[in-house]
Amino acid sequence: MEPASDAELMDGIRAGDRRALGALVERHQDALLTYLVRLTGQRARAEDLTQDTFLRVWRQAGAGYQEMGRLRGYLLRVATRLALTELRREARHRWLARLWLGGGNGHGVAPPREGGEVQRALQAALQGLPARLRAPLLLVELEGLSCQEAAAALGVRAGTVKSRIHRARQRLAAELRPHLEG
Amino acid sequence: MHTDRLGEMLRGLPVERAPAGFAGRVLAGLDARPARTGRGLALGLVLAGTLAAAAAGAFAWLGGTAEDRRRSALREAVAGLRSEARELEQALARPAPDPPPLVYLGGDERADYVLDLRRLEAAGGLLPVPPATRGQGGVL
Repeated sequence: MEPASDAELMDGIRAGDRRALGALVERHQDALLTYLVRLTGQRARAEDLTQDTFLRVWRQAGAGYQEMGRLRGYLLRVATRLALTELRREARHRWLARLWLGGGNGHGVAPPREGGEVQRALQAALQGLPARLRAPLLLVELEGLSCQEAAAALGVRAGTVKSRIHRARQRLAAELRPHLEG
Repeated sequence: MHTDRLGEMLRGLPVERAPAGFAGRVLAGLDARPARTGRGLALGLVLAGTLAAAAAGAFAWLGGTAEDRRRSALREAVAGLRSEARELEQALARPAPDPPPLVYLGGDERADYVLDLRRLEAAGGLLPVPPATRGQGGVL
């Protein structure tokens, strides 16, 4: 028996079939988790956000899936919006904590401890980017979304996505110049 | 070319694997209320604590002024009530005027029929009786 397609699983989710959701999670969990770890820089938070993404898909019964055209883009859109909301909330809290308590550290993300030197430098540089630059870069360069799909995921125009990717690349190139030239 | 090298480096980032039983964890979350992440919750608690402490400080600082305003308002209210009580006492002490010489004849929810004896006297007796006026509180 052939495995159900993404569209069939989404039909199942709309019909309230929990097994369909389970199958969907099994199929997309690693890709979504990888994207969210890269976006947030934190494994535990990325796991929570991955779970929240699937729960949101279930609770919204896939609303918005049709307009994205394919499931991967739809999942990335839900995940991106959840993650950016979370990151903005955290940034607000950090700012208030600094203002009121005089404390708080820079990004709130631990430096990467795994991988080689180049990979650690890349991860650190990536996390040093503002989320509004990091998200479009990841969506287009690594997740393979078109600029239009990324724009829909981020709620901005395609031109904005392009300019943000350009700026993100410039900043990464400046940060990683020794590794890029070596 | 830096651009190509950067793309290669990005594509070389590690791939994550979800922990065993992750799908079960998601399904278990279907019946639970949505919860915030531990870090978000901790930050929220710190923020809430900070705001509460600041609010308590502000309350303590402004407390004297607020208490003064409350006492002043109470004094004004008590003075007003005393003044009203005095007016009522005076009104009760005044002799009541003679009630008008009216005889209630009857009525319904639309009109009352009343006989005004002063008009009867002025007319010189029981006859002729003026036509009844209709309406609320009508007078013969």
